[in-house]
Formats: sequence, structure tokens, C-alpha cells
Amino acid sequence: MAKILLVEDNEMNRDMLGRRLEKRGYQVAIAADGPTGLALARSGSPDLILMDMSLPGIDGWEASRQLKADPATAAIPIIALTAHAMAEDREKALAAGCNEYETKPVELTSLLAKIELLLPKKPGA
Amino acid sequence: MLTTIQQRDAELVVAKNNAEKARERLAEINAMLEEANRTLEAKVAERTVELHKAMTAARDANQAKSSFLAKMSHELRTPMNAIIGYAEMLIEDATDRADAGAIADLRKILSAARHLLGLINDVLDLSKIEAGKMDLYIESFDVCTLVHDVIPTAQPLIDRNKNQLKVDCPENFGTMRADATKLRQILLNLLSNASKFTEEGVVSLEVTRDQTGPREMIVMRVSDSGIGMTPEQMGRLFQVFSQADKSTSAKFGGTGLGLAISRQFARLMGGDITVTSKMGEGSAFTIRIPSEVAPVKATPDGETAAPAKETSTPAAVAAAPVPTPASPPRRGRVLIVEQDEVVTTMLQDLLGREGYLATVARNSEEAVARAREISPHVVILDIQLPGADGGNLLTQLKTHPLLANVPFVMLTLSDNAKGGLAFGAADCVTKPIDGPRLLAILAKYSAARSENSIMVVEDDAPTRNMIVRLLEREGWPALQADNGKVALALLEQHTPSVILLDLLMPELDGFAVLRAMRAHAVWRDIPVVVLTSLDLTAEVRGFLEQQAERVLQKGSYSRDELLREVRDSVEEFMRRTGRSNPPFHSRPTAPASILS
Repeated sequence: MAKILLVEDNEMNRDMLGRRLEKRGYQVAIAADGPTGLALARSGSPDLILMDMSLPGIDGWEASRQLKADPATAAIPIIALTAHAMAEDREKALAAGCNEYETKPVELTSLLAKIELLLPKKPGA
Repeated sequence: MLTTIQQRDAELVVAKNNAEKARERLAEINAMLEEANRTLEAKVAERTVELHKAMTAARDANQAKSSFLAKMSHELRTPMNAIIGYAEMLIEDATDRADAGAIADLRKILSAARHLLGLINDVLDLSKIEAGKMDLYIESFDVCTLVHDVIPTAQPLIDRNKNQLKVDCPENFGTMRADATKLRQILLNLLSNASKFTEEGVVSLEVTRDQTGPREMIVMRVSDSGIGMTPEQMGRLFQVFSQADKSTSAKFGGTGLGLAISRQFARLMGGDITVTSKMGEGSAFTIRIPSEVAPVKATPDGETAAPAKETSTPAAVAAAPVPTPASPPRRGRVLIVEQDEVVTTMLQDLLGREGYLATVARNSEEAVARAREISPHVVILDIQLPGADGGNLLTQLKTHPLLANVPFVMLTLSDNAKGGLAFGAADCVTKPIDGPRLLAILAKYSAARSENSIMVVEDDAPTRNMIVRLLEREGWPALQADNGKVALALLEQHTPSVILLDLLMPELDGFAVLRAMRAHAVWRDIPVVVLTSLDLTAEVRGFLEQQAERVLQKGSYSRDELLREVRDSVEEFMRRTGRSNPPFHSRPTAPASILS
């Protein structure tokens, strides 16, 4: 079962997305701010991270940069979640090292496709 | 006799007195004029200051409006996210319970929430257009494929009023270069309007090419047999928040923003939307978009440099941007760091005529930002920028990772020439600038970097070596990268004509490379051939179809066949981009052929 770390400060979005992912068979870990997200990413060895960009404490861009700069966590794919639909935000997220980008409101089918695409492939694929 | 003389004397005295008075009066007037002049100058100075203040205030206000809207869009989207998400969740649960009543009600919530989100997006689009912040993403696509992609979304709207949809787009119609997303949005808007105002009638969409004008236009005509409009209604049609009449929104819904946005999108692409209609007989909307849309970049100060609108007046025709095929071959990208507008205008003219793309930056921050956008082949730097130590500026820019390997040509006064070279400039040109000498220098440095190479990004060494050998045998020099990270680093320095890209790689995979490339102003024009052993799902294939020129699946070919396919693809793209010119802001027309 794939482990997904969801870093999101908005309680409703966190609850909703977490439950919907669990319903589809993912194991979901939750963090409500940047520092907790970083700690869980390092200790919980998730297979993939969903990272909100506007987080309190350490924002999503900075958290992604730190994770991608650390050899221990650099390989974990990160999907950036942001409410900004501007192209510059997408570029900013990719520049911070995020592997993908999803605009809020999250379109679940699209997000699931991206998750499946980024989850580490089984050997031989 | 004596009396005559006395009389003359008397007259002379009078005349003298008069002259004296006139002179005094003149002096007075002169003083008054001088005074008036002084007052006027003071007034002009005063007004200039006031005007300047007003302009600054207006600019600040406009900026405040833009950032307010950006912030609002964030604030509005966050709760929408929750509403749409929970509604979808509840529908999933209700479906599991087969609770038809709840499903129907929840769908209404979902539909209203999506409508509201659409409204927010429309307002945001409109404000972006107004602020000059709307970018075009120009790409090549098959016109009929786009048209047929829109139909499934439009069909439910057509069916709602029991209408019939007739689409006329000849199968071999061919491709165009435009912003596909915006064109799709325009089409969807017009089709949805047509079906809204038509009942048990016909909505038709007809696609043609118009080659009669100076630029070839793609014409899409959406007509209906609906209620039609009066001339007054048509006059207000494209205005923001305006519908044919007040009762329209009550009866037919809609925001009145769609048509205004559609027209703005069409104009941004150098085209337009026009309408003809007859009350009671129906309406016809005609979209005209150039088959080769010139790129538009939103400007930071808010004035969108939109290409000239297509019209038939001779003056406008002359002012219309030259279509791509007629422009001189692109020789390279030059970044000019200079504050003197006379010099920048002169340089841009000179370099533009010679086929360079010249971009201007006025200080070091701008220079770094522009460098990120265009990856210049050469930087021209004025060493005497006010407020900056030229040597420092050069060192600062030269040590920036983006510019570390880019040759710098310094503009200096003659006695400073040596200083520049000592700081690491490649060459110096003294002011006033000797055009031919500057061009000769630029030719030297940009030629050294414009290449016909092909980048091979593949982690499996035997496969990579095999492909590189094949390419070299054909006379194509190859750049090699064993993962995506290395590939992106190489792209900072080189602009290959074609990239062969593996998908599964360590460090950074092919998907991430494609995404980074397509988000980059220059790299996004480089054709990519994806080589993969993956069994592609429809989802992934759809993504790749949009992002890459061609997808070759390793498993479907024998080794020799694969090599032949690679060679054919590369040959085709090299031929299309012109072997002597690296691809430059001109993504070749490439039907994405997917082999699965």
C-alpha cells in the first residue's frame, strides 16, 4: 500500500482529501504545517508527498526545496497544491523541486492520475 | 516761413513725446509679458508635478487592483475547494448506498459550486486581460482534433434544448499555431450560447481557411436557428456583464462575461469574433484567428503587446506582424543590459534586422530575470550604468549560475576597454557604437553556441551509446545526459535541435524534464521524441501527446527498427527546423503520432 504524506493547513481540505485518498486504498499521513511536514517526510518515509504551498511556519516552496536538497528525501516525489492558477506559481513550484502541480480546487481524477504516475514504479515496469 | 518751422518743431516735440510714451508702454507690456511667462512656467512645472503624481497614483491603483484580484482568487478558491470536494465525497457515499434522492440534491450543490467557480475564473481572466497579464501559450495542433475534443463537453448543453449539432471540419484540414486552451474555451462558449438560445433547432460549426488576406486565417463559424437578436442587442453583446436584455440572465442564465472574454482571447491572438443575427431567425458567430499566431508576452507594466488586429485597411495590413516564414533566420538571443533608451532602441533595431532576438534589461535584477526567460547566447553590458560600478556589475552577473558561461560584450568609453576585459568580458565595443563591428563580434560568439546537436537523455548506457553512435554516423553531434537533472543542466548551456528522452530515469525522470521544458520560455520550443519501455495508459499517453512531438515505444520495435524510427524522427525535425538554424521560438508543426 502506497504511503502518502499530505501537508495542508486548511482543516477541511486536509480532512476531505485525506479521507478520499484513504477510500482509494492509500495510507495517508497528515501534517498541518511546514515543520511537521518536513519532520514526517524525514521520519515516515512516505512514497509521495502532497504539499500545499501556502503553509504557516515554513511554506510549501521552502519545504520542497529543503526536501529536494536533502539526499535522504530528494527522491520522494512531491505534488504541489496551490490555489493560484497563475503560470508563474506553477513555475515557482517546479523551480522549488516539485515534480507535479495541481491547482485547487483539486480535481480528484486528475490528482489520482498524477499520483499514480509519480509513485515509484515496481521493478520491471 | 518762421511759423512753418515753429509748427514743425512743435509737431516734432509731440511726436517725440508720443514715441516716449509708446516706449514706456512697450516696456510695461514687456514687463507684463515677462511676468506672465514666469507665471506660466511655474504653472507648467506645477502641473507637470501634479500629472506625474496622478500617473503614479493611477499606476499604483492599477497594481493594487491586480494584486487584490490575485489575492481574492486565492481566498475564493480555498472554500470552493472544500465545497466541491465534500459534495463529490457525499455523492460517492450516496452512490454506494444507492440513495437516489440525496444524489440528485447533492448534484445540484455540486453544479452550483462549479458554476460559481466558473464565475470566479471568468472574473479572474477578465482582470488579467485588463491588467495586460494574460499570456498566450502558442503551440501547433490539429484543428479538427481540437474541434472534436470540444464536442463531448458541448453535447450535454446541445441535448438539453433538444438541438442537433452539425460539425463540418474536413478530416485533412491540417494544423494551426495558436493558444489551443483559449481557442477551446472560445468554441465552448459560442457553442453553449448557441444551444442556450435555440430550442429543437440546429447548431452548426463550420471550419474553413481564408487565404484571401495578407495572413492566412482559420475561420470557425458557429450558427444557430435560435431566437436571434435585434441590432441594439448585438451592439451590447461583447460588453462585460451585458446580455441581450435584462430578462436574459433570468431566463437563460450565464454571467454575461463569456463573450467579452472570448473576444478578448481572439484579439489577443491577432483575430476577432464577429456576429450577424436576425431576430427570430438565428445568429452566427464567426471566429477568425491567424493560422500562425504571433507570440504575446504579458508585460510587467501592464500594457499587453498584442499583435495588430487583422483588418482590411492598408495601414493596418502594413503594421501587422510579419508572418514567421518571412522573418529572417534567427541567429541567437542577445541580452542588452543598458539604461539609455537611445542606445537600446538603436541596438534592438540593428540586432532585430540581423535576425537576433534582443531583450533589454535596465539593471542587474532585470538582467537575471530576463536571462532566466531567454537563456541568452551573448550579453551586451553597458559598463557605465548609473548607480552601479561597472566592474562590480560584470562580476556580479558573470558569477550568476545562469550567466556564468555566457560571453559578455562590454559597451565602454575607449579608456575603460581594458578594465572590462580584465573583469572577464569576452570583448569590448566603444561608444559611439560601430554597428558592423558589434555584429561581427556577436556573430563570432553566437555562432559558437548555436548548434545542430541532438540531446540524448537515457540512463541505460548501452542504449544511450547505441543511439549516440547512430546519430554520429548520420553526422549529428550528440549531447548526452544519463538523467533528467543532467539534461536540464545541459539545456542551460546548449539549445539542441531535438531531444530524445527516456521516461524512467534516476534523479529526475522524463516527465519532470518535459514539464520543466514546457514551462520554460525557450526550451518549450525544442521538439522532444520520447523513448520508453513503459506500457502507457491512456492517461499518460494523453499527457505525452500534449507535451512531446513523438512517442516511440521501445518494446514495439526490434533494435534496428527503433534506430530507424529515431533516425527518421530526428531527420524530420532537423529538416523542419532548418539544419543551419537552431529552433527558435518556432515549435515545428508536428502531429503527435503515438505508437502504442
